[in-house]
Amino acid sequence: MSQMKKDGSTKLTTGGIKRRDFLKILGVAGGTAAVAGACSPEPVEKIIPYVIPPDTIIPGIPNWYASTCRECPAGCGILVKNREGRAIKIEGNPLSPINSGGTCARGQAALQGLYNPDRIRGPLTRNSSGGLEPTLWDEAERVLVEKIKEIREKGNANKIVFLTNNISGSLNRLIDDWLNALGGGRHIVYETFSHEPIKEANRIAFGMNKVPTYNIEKTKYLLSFGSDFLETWLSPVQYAKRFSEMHGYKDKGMGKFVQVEPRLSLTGASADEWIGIRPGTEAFLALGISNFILSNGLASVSGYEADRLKGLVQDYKPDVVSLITDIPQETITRIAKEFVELKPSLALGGGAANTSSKSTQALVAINILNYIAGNVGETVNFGDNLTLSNVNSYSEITSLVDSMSKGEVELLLIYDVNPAFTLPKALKFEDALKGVPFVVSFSSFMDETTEGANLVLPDHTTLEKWGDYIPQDSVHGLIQPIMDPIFNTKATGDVILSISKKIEGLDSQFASNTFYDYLRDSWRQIQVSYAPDKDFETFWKETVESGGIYREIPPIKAQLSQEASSVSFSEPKFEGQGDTYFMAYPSYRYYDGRGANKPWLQELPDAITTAVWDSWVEINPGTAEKMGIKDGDFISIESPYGNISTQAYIYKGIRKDTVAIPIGLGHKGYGRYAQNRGVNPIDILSPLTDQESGGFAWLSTKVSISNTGRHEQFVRTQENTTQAGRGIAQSITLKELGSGVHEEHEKNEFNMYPPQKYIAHRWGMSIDLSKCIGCGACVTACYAENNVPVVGKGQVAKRREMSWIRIERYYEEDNGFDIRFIPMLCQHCGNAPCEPVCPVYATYHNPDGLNAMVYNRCVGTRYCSNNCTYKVRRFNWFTYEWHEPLNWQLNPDVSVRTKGIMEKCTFCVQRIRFGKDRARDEGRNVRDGEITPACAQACPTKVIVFGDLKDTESTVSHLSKDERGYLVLQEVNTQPAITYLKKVTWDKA
Amino acid sequence: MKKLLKLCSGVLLLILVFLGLYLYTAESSTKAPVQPVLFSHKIHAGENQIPCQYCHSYVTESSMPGIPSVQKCMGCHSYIPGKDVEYIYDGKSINMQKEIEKVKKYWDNKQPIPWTRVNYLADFVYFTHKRHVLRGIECATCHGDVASMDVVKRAHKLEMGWCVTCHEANAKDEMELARLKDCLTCHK
Repeated sequence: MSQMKKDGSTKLTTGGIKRRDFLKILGVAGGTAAVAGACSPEPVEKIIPYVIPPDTIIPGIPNWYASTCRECPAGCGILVKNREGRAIKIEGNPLSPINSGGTCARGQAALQGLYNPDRIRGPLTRNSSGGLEPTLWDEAERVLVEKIKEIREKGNANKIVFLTNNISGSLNRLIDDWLNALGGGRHIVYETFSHEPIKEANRIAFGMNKVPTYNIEKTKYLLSFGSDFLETWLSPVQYAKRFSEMHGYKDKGMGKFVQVEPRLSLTGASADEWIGIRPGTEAFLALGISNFILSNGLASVSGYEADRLKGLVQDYKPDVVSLITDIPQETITRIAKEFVELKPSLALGGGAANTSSKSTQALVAINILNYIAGNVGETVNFGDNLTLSNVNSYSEITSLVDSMSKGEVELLLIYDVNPAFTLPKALKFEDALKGVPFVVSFSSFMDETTEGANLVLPDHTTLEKWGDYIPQDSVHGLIQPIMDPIFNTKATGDVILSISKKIEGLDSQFASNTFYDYLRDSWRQIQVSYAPDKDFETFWKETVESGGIYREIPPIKAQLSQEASSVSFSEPKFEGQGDTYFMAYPSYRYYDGRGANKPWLQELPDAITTAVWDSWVEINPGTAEKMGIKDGDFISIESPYGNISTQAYIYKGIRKDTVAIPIGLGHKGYGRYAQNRGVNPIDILSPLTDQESGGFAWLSTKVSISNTGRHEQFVRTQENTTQAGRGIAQSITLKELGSGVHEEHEKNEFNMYPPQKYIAHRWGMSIDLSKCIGCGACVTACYAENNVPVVGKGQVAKRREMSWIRIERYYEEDNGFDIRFIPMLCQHCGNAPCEPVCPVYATYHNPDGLNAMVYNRCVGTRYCSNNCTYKVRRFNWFTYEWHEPLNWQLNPDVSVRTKGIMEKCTFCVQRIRFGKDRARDEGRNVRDGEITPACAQACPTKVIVFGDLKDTESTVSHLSKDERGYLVLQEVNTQPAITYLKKVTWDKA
Repeated sequence: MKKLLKLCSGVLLLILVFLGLYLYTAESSTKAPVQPVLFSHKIHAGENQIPCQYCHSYVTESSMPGIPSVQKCMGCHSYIPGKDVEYIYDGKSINMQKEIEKVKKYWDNKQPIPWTRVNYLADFVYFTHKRHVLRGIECATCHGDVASMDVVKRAHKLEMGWCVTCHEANAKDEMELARLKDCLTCHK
């Protein structure tokens, strides 16, 4: 038909067949091929049965195992779903008093640590050419034993250092005992966010060197001085839950929350009022408030104590404080009044990002404020303290680095910390590491610290091993393996025990054959203390089933010490010639950077910027305009310790004299998902400390910023910030609710189509915007449950992200600056615009009220998506890949979609199916609350309620008629099954 | 030239039609696959009357029926070596004792027996044995008279139309019909 011409071009020849005939032939041939293709035999599959069936596994039925999350020091209880021997989903353990069934996004993503394709697959040793090469466990342990023997023979056992994260529990005890037995090595516990100023200020004020817990749920007025308690601070899921109890609208009222910080964080976004304080001046605001309370006789203290405190704060009259803190005087006095009027109140302080070089002083001032309002022993709970209280201070870490570089450390064993990434470059940790003759890393991942190790003995991940963890005095969490180890890894506890058998003098002391035996032995002691009337086996079985033991510890009263009144207050130091304060803040997605190797967390849009897969710098619009900086421009940030450059995000929620970058990205290694992505703001921080506590002063750097002139698309999922008057995320004030002034549901009866018939159920949902904190746990849970693919930065830039549920973020600027979050997912409309436009009946309304999607019918016209009012349908532009073994996590109850198919939220139809199936087994109807979609299950603040709208007694039915209820874009008459409850705001003062 | 092309296309058409027909009949032919061990359902379920659930033990509990483990085979065959007789299957003579020897070998090597799947459902189908068996549907309704087959072959093509016919015919009332005809009942 066509022939190649000499010049290489082709053209249709005229003498042959006509185009028309050609098409006819093609049509017939194609049709026949299609017939043949449709009837082609199915693939030949093998069925591989068990050789010996495991007792506990019935194929097709999941098992749930209780354990403890170790993605951060909070130690939430988790339940992990195991199908046919593989962990496939993590949920919060409802029995754990820490998280009561909720999780955060990081907890959900622990599975992608387990199945990470970049895990270290076996022991590695440094070869003669300087590279790390695989070795055998016996050989690796022999090398370590030789090394230890050599050091002991030289009498240098005290030069052994074991550097771990906070592992309070049996492993901690094993390491301590082991180092002692070796002859006096040091165990140093390093946490990136270690909160020394909180401890020290509590020692000064109350004589208690502890990090307490806070009963946020009991407060009516919460004043937080930059604590990001909904993101990373101390125990974020616990505090998110407690916060929602305090701040969610119920019984015609709610608590008030004021956040004081230079940059409005995700936590601050939930506040009723944001006060953009000058960085490092929190102490003075607290003192100013105390001054007003004391001098107006509003305090809960009296007599000598009151006089003493009055003397302490007398210099800090609101007008003086106003000048120091850059906060209007009226605001200070108003907060002071509210703080004592709305009781019990609570002041929090000590978020890492706001830790200045005078942070202890600030926290002493906050302690005094709590004390005079009568909060200590009420909302500040010194009975139940965090084990974070026991970690070593940053200054102890710096002296370790110092002794490492001086050659005073002969053997460094590193467990689950990555100081090469999390310490400021100014400390030169990587150089110091080179000064240690022998470094052993137990990391599961090739992080920046492990790259410098001589021997790598990879530990199992938390989901593959036995262990325990005590996050706070009230909780002893147990860790049990959910599945067999995937790779040739070995639990560090087992490594210690097995090498002890080969070291003279240690073999008798460490007689346990496995760490499991050691763990059980140490729990025998716990049983004696907490359950003496039970026999151990019963106790053990019960504990393994419930994930640990939980106690209630009441708050204890504390007296303000004399020392508190002798504290003098001064302004913090800042290093750097620039005129801009520089904040490096912990990321709720990556914590201190450990989350960066998990694709789900990389693709979870940051709640404020909605950015994915990269870093950014937040800059005030005023400053940006002055410097000619536009959104997406690359900004160079220079401190005395270095220079980094990243894209600008123009943000109204940051002071004009401050810029901020989240911590977590900027890895040089750490696997394919993290490597060379974004910048690490810690690199350019000044290494200053808070003198009193020895804590790292995260906020003590000043930088100069300049526009590099380079611009790129700033990749994010939501470009616009306004609702354009559409009323998507609605709010109502307390006063309006109180007076009954709110819109009634407009009933729009007109319909072109016959009404839907719901036979047994109509599944529906309610979403309470007064509780949503924007944390994204629901989004990640949905990825995990529904096999939602991760598409990467390039595809998100083309609006091709696949998330079935997203957190939309809107800025309201009429009355101050207010951020609204609204979870947006398929509304399962009764009158769904997507359904009538599907030419192949791939999407339709099912008799239970689900807007169903039949994947294998879908031909990919995308008409449904074009017609969707809520833009919640996602199209598979490609067949996306799960890098082996990430695919092991896939949920077998949900189809994996391929190229050319439309998908969207199903209300977790597989869970509905499961719930109905169980109900039928038990010969009853489905109970209200029995079926929970993954998003609702994960939510730490219980925003989402799912149930049957046809059942008039169900919770969701009641909520659908709530006075705050509204339907998004109701005027379009799509009749959604999701009722949103308006966010409730305090009337502006 | 034009004539030649028309002829060519005619031939091409015929080839494709035959190919299509061949594949269609090949696919719908009920030929049993070659299995690693000549396991005869006829001997087990037919002659010896072993109930289906003895080996497929999860049919009333799970969506999956459960394929017996090698241990289960050995539970009996540690004591039953099989008859040393020639068994005629598919025109070939097979020594049953030797077939059982194969199973023992798998057991000794702690290897699973890699059976070839006979009844295939696409990955997007949610099918639960439990609900069907508990409803009182006989195994034979879908799997045919397994007790008379040596090597099991497919009795029905397990395609949507066939499933729906049964779902429609067996619904007790309007409500159940609506449920059983709903796409989401089987499409996951």
